[in-house]
Amino acid sequence: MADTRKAPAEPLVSVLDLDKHFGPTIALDGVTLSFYPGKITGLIGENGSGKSTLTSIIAGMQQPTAGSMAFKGQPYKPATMIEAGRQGIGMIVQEQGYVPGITIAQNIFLGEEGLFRKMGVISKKAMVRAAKEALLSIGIDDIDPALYIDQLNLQDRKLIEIARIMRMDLDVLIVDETTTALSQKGRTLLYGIMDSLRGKGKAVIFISHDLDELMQVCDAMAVLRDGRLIAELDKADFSEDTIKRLMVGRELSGHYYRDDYETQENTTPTVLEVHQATSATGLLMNFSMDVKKGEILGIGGLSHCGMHELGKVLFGEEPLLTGSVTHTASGQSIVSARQAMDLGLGYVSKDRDQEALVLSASIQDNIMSAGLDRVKAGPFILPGKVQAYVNKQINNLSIKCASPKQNVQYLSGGNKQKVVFGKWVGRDCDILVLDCPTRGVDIGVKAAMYQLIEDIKNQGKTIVMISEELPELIGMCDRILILKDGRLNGEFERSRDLDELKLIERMI
Amino acid sequence: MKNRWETIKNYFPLLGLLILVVFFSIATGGALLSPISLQSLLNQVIATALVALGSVFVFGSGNFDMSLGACLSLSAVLGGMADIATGSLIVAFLVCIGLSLLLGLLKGLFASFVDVPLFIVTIVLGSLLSAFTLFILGDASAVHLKDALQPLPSFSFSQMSVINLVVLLSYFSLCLVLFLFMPIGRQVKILGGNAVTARQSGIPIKKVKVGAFLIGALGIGLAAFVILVRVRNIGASTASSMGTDVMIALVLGGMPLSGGPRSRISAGLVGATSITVLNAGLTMMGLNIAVIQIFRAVVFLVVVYVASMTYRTRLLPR
Amino acid sequence: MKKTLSLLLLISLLLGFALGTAQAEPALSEDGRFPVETVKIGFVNYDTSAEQVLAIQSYFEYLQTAFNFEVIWSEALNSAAAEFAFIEQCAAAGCKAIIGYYNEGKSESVKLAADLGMYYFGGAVNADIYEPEKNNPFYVGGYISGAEQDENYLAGYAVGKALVDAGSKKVIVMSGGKDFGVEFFVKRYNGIMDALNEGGAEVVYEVPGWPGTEAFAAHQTAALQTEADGLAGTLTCMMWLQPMQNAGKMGQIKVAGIETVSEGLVGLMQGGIYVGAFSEIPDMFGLSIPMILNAVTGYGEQQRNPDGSAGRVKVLNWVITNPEDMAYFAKLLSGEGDERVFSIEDLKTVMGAYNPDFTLDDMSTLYSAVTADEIRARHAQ
Repeated sequence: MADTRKAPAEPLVSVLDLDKHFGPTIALDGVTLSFYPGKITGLIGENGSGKSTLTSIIAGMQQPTAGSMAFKGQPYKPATMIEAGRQGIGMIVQEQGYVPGITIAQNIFLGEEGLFRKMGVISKKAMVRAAKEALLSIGIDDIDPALYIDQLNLQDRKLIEIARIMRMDLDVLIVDETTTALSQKGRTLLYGIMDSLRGKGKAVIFISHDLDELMQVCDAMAVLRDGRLIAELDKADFSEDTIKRLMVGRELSGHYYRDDYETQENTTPTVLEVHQATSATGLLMNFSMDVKKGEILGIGGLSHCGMHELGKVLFGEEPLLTGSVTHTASGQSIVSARQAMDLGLGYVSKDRDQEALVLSASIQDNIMSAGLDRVKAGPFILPGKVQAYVNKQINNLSIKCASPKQNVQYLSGGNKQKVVFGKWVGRDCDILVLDCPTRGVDIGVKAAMYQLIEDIKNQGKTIVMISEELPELIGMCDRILILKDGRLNGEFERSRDLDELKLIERMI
Repeated sequence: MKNRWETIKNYFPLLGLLILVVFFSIATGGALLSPISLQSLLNQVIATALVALGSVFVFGSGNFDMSLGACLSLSAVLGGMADIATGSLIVAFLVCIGLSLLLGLLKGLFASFVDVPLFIVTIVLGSLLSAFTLFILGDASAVHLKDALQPLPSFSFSQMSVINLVVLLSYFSLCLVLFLFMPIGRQVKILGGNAVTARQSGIPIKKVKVGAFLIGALGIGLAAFVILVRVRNIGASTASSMGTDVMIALVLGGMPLSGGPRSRISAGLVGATSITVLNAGLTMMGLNIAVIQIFRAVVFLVVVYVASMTYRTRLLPR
Repeated sequence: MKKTLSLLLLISLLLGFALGTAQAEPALSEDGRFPVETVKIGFVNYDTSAEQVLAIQSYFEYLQTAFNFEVIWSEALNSAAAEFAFIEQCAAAGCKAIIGYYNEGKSESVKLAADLGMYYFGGAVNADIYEPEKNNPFYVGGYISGAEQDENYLAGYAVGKALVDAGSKKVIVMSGGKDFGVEFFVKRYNGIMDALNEGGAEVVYEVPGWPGTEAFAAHQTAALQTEADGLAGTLTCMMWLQPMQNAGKMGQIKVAGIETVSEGLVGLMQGGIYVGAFSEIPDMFGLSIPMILNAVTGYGEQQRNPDGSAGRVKVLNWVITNPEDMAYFAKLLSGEGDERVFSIEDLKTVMGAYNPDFTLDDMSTLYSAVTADEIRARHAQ
């Protein structure tokens, strides 16, 4: 990355004493911060620290309760995101920012179809041509803009959003936790864009949970905690421990991942056997493996390697073209979620909002949804038992909520994930399949989850952990399997000498 | 904070009903709450209420059933014919319920195994059933129970009200227990909220769909029987507007037609009662027809606006 | 002196008393109408914009200048359940009677009204309604056709005859719902056909079905291309006027149909386009008012049959074959100049409170005297 920096005197955009209250909740408390041209500034903080609130106010998504902003030296108070965009400040959002059901070209030119109107008719060909150029300008040459956006996978859809944003003439680009949704290729692309903006003297505000990524990419970092600005650091002062300490405000006592290094014995019985499995999507190819009782088995690889499909296959959620998944103790082939659950399996999907939770339902409804057979008294379900079941999980997992009847869509990412965990932990599953269990979750919650996973293992249960975070795999698993193009490409035992480089070699 | 507002919004439909009752009691000089009027309201609301109660399960699980009116008509016509042939009210009852359950099973199986959107399937089914009803009626435009083998016992106005009350309370209690104290209620809500999540949570989707349709069919069968006994002349157009009446009732009662976790048993009852009170009150005030229609339109606009406020959720970044 | 004065006073008092009773004026309400307490009446309707209903509404407004009643008009009801609901609502609102202009619930509607303590008027033409409830004291009865044959058959016959009398030989027949088996259309059609056959006219085209459909319009076009010189309708023929104009056949084809009297028809008859119209008299529904008021004020028995069953009043309809009659009738219905087919004074002659000696037959006589001459004669008194 180019290292162009002069520290200019004039900030490009700044906020002064910014407050944001949601009723009694204080999301931002007197934040004063400036972002300079030609710099990529990172924002880091736990969930609830206020970083997303801050950027959403800057991007015009909501209004501050108090305080002011300035842009290019003038008072800045955008009423909407469109207005902010016209003035030159744009944001790539964390959630879905595209419109499904229409083409890629239409998404890129959303709201600007008039550009292609000739004699009252919109020329699709012209739009597609222009879209191709827009994609090329950000370095994408292998996507056909005439396709429907739904035909792309989730990562590539994010790239289209980026293409749309980049069409605007932006002075400030805000990237809100977008990198978690991107593949390696997409991330590289985004870094390239941020770099080029910096080179042109623009400002980039970058939010991410990945500390390594931030430390690599940013020129400066601001640490937020509980709605307040705690510290501003220059690249020279970046240090992982310091930043972590500033974020959490306390020494991270004890370990983060597991600190034991006992290895499994070879005579441990298997609980699940996968024989020559090929998934219907074709992403898993003639795959075989065994899962041993009581182990934490890690599954890693690049995004399209088939690891997520493997999770679904284990749970009976993905039909197989060839092969089978056998539950060793019962001898049954797993073909449906219900059957898997009856055999003692549980599954946490990677797609939290679309598959693991019903967003419009309450915490109670969600936690109960997988546990109805655990609270039945005859044919009936007693409200008392339901409350006890749900409250137990809320307490054990420290789910922060106003009441169990609260809708999950209002919870933070970390708390949502805790609800998902509660769903399965409540069932006391023997085998738990976790797909990206700590994605989009802040450090405090992550630590709690690693502790929970370790506790489950210590109870003698088995865990299959599919993850895109290498440190997590290395830190938590007894065994790690690396997949490449749908096949097994590497197997590693838990060891102090294991490092990311060894894993990556098997992934690429 | 947001949570307190959510719970208050839950009571809007009931509050709306209360306002309607108070307003029309005053406007009709108390006539709305007279014994005759109350019994009349019960008679008017019962058919829609029975179907709406059962529909909470059907719509709640995410199934859009457009054939409610046609199913009801056919059940009532066949029940009527059974009564004429045998002179027995019991046989008529069994036919009404039995045929409804059969249709419910059919719809449930379609919803579970056929990949065509149920919305379309039920529109087609509704047309087919209506045509079939006309066909079996033949030249007659209606079946008249007075042609029965043995004359039906004649119920006075008050006796009819008692029968209606008993039927309504029984079915309401059944639905309440099923929805709140048995797995199917929760399964319906989750299924309606997100079918993929439901499946991954181990909910037996096919069984839940069939179950929901059977419960709904029971309501339709009961409604058919109640109409049969009261009106005694059943034609193909009997209850033709039941479909839309039920959907309006559910929405007014605070439940979204897309179903899901916001489904509630009270919705059908509160909504159906609100519409009935509105219509009865307007007629009793003896207003000019044009004034009545404008009044009704304004009320609906207000209700839809208020209802839309509760559906506007904005996902803000955290 | 005192004795003479008191005698004079006594005589004048007696005279005054005698004169007063000879009038037999019943007690009136504060605003001078009969009876003292307002009688609320519910009107069961199926089409709120039908011309006939609008005519009835205007007639009732006229009657309300002398009679103290209020009407709750229903909305467009289309099912027995809706009808029952309306009847119940009327009871709750304090109605004393129901006018069954529309009846889907048959005798159940009568029974329901009676159960709720309300009188029911209407449906006497329909055996399904009349027979089961004729002995119910709350069923006051209604009108029936005073003609010897079925009134629908007569309607059709009158239409056909009007064309034959006007000289038509090649006739288009609009058969309406005959092909769907709707009974009254079948009867009307038979009436037309009999009249045409008797008069030696032939049918050159038969147009089935309902106006407003594409098929109907297609038939119309085809029919207008024949050599027809007459058009007979089992319902109104007004929707033929424009197509006839377009086809240039206006005046060439003489028209007769089942119509509602109107100013427009006056012009059409004067122009020789219409030669015959068979029309129900909307004001005959006004029979409901005297019958209901009689029942409410204690004269209900007098309007029943000797065997106690509900009274059926014979009414006749209009067969109009010349523009002068049409004009007269249109004026009567419009309320201009306050002359009506059945005026307030006419009604008082069959109301017990004004004429304690009236009988059911008197009612039939009144409602059967409907030719232009008969009406004029009655009002000249």
